Amino acid sequence: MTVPLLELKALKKYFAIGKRQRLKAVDGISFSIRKGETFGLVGESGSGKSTLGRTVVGLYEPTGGSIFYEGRNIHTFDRKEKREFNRYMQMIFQDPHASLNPRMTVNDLVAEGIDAYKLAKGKERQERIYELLEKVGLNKEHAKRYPHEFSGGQRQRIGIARALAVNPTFIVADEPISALDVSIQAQVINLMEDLQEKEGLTFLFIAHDLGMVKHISDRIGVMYLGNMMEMGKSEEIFANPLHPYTQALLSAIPIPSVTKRKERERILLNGDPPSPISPPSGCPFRTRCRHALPICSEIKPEWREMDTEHWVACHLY
Amino acid sequence: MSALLEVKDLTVSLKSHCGEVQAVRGVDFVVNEGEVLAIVGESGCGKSVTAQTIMGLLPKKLIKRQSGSIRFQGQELMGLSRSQLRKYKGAQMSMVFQDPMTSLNPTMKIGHQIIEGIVKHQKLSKKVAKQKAIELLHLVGIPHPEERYRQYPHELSGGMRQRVLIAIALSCHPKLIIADEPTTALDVTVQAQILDILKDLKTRLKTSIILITHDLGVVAEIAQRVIVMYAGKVVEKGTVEDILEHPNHPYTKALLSSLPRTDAKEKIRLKPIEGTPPDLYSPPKGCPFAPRCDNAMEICLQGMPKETRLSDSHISHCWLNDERCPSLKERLMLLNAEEGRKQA
Repeated sequence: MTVPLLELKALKKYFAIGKRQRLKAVDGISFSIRKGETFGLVGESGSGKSTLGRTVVGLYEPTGGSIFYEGRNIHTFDRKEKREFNRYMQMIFQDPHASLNPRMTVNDLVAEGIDAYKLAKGKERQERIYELLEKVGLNKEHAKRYPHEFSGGQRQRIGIARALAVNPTFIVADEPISALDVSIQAQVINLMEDLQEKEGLTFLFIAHDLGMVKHISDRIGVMYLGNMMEMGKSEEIFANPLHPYTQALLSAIPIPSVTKRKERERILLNGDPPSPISPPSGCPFRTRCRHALPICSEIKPEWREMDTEHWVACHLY
Repeated sequence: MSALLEVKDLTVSLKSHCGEVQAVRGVDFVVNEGEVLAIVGESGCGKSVTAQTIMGLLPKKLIKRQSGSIRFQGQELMGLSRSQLRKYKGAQMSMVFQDPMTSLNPTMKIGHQIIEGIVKHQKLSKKVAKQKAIELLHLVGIPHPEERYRQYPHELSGGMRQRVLIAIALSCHPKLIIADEPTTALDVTVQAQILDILKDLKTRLKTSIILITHDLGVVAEIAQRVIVMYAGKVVEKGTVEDILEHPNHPYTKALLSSLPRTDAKEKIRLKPIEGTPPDLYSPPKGCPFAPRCDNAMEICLQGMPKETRLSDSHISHCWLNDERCPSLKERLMLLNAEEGRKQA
């Protein structure tokens, strides 16, 4: 097997809350992402999916565990390598209204990365900016304008152009479409798929819209309270979910069809997820699980491969 | 079933720093007793302005022009003064807002926010009102209501706060609840819980609900009838089956087909609606969807289509339904002929 592009080993990110308490946002997660694939990360708010994405691109320093890029531990990188690694890893943010500096023109916004890495100068630089804008479905005339002159969908395109400006290999997209209208969401998703095909990009796609995640991802990981509960090929997760949490999550997706809605069984979860500051003992999901056994409160279930590439952490299996 | 709320030819335009926004342009609909009516559309289509006009919540200085009729149980609400309106709003009709984080007062205990309306509208003592508030909290599925009664909003999760908002809306036994995107800010699992509560209210208390949403999945879950809005106008209305299973208007069809299918075996490319909705400072004189419509004809840019009654419940506004409109086959032939002529 070839070396995966990115490998996480027992990655942890804790935040200190006051002097005594710690919030375990990501609590020992291991998986790898292959070159050219889209890995979807789903989970409720507070499950730690955004923290994981931010730790991967280096916006947070991990508390424990390690990240391997093309087989090399990024912790061992020297300054130059670290800088190069930061160029490979780019991010698309959720809110296109808040993630663009309102006082910069589109031209300057896109050029920021190019200048920081001194990738091009003068005429070449300008041509590159135009090329990037065209790549994301905007045009030359847009370069002189400011972010407020654009709609949400267009702003998200500017965000994508910014990420692409430094020739990345890996892009973390943190809820890139949840702030957009339904009819515009499909435009952005199609753009991301096209870019992936043309540029050979690898995506970590974080979202809570399970339908979209299934559509765009090759593999999906389901997170709950900082832990990975289940991971597998996207069709497999949808056709044959093993973890009770995944089952409940999938059954809660509202389906826009009257007939199909009647056919399926709904598993209603009670209550809210517990606080990640004091998570339950054993399996984090046991407090809301309808199959909870006595063992679930004592021992944290092992992360096991049930089928080829289908991993689950649950005492039922 | 009789009509609880009748909205006729509602037109609202708002003042803004760039001029007049024609937010709602002639909207008609009826809400019957004990039913859930969903208003669907993209941001800026006028669905929230419609709701806020019914509730009389738009600030007076913002309204440029407002016309049409809103009849609630036969009583005309348009043109009533603020004090006259107070008899209805809050008591007979109430509203649940989208964002449970910002629509509760952070400096007031939950309990006080609930009894505020009860004390004002029903003239009950605080003690009786407290009893009622605890019952309400219980009704919307909040565990340990006595303790919650004394807590502040920040001590509650998003789902819990949304339940408190529903409890406040229910506090005076309204006939009509307007819920503006009540589940948009919530996780899918919590969304399912809130939708169940709303469904339960409808069957148990016979409350009518106007649900404003952009999520067609939520519509299928809870609504009986649907109106689809685009650029301040109603483009299609009908029962849930009409809209979701047999959509007629190209916009409704396009919305449905832009969604990813969770049951798809292999990857099908999504069909987005290209372009963006029109600018409502100067709305087009023809069909507002025409510039983004695959089937647009010349006439679509020139005039608004009339309403076509497809069945007793199903109404669509599209030129394709006009009897003068050639069938799809004929139109394709015409197009081909035209291209042939151009090439020649």
